[in-house]
Amino acid sequence: MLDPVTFGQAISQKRKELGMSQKELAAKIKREDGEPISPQYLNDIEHDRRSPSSDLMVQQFAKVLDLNSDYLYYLAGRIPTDILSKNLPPEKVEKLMVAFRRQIKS
Amino acid sequence: MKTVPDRTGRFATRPHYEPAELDRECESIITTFLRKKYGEIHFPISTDDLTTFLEKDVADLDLYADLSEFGQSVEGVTIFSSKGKPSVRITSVLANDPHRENRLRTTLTHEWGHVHFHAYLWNVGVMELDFGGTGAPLKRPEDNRQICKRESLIDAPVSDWMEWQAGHVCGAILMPANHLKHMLKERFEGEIGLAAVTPGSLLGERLIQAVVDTYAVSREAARVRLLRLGLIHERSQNVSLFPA
Repeated sequence: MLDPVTFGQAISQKRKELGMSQKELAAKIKREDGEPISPQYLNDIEHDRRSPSSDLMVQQFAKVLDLNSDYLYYLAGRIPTDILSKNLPPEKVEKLMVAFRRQIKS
Repeated sequence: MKTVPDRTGRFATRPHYEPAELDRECESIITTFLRKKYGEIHFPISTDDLTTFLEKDVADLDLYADLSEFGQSVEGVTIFSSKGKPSVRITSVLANDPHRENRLRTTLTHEWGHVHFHAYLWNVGVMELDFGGTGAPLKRPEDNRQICKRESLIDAPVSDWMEWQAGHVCGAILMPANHLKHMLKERFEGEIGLAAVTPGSLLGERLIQAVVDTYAVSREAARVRLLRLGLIHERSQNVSLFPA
């Protein structure tokens, strides 16, 4: 199977590998108010029509589907809250990005 | 299955299945699926299981698609590909309305029929074999799509062979022939088989209702299935010992 290139593809691919339906997975992913997301919302996420609305949601996808949460943050184009909350100065962010790019090239 | 000329002009030749062939293959596939998942066979198959049943054979299933571009009564579209598995799109109208769950079940199994029985027609090797040096006529993007309208999901005319076959498959998956006959035999022992039963007769009504209750299908789907299996007949047939 090909590596997923989007957040939605990663979720969809792993869900199918685990033999879960969208309805089953949606019931396990909670919004911030504690209510489960709808199967339609999950369907939209899987088809990259919508993005996960919170870090909590990304973390739940990672836990339920046994996926690496940092990888999901990367695919979702999000910076994890624990990093964002450090309020890094611009020069530090720049250095980190340079290091990140260097690591990708090597 | 045998290959016959395709009079619709879409292909040079097409597959022809006897209804019993479709019944046998579908029953084998769906019972294997259920046995693998639950260790036993129980009907009705849940709508959720129908989605995973279809998902295993497609590249993508979109259960909340906007199909308005194809017209109001289009409920499902199968998009075939020469490079891989087909994709299926089903109108969001069905999944969003609990009252239309039977229609969703019908559409899921109908599209599975196209996926399982027709996807090979888009295989490049099959096309070259089919059309020889003249090349396949399927050139436009819309040629790769099978657009399924509400009115033909269950009972399309025989001339529309792709829709007819997918419609039969839909019934054969939701109401497998042997399971259905066994169920009716248990419940109506001594009542059926003595004379031809029409859908409008009291017994016909009871048979249809039993199928509706057992398999979670609409009355129309149950009626068509019983007709195709020869368990009810549109007109009361006179049984004569002395045929003319």
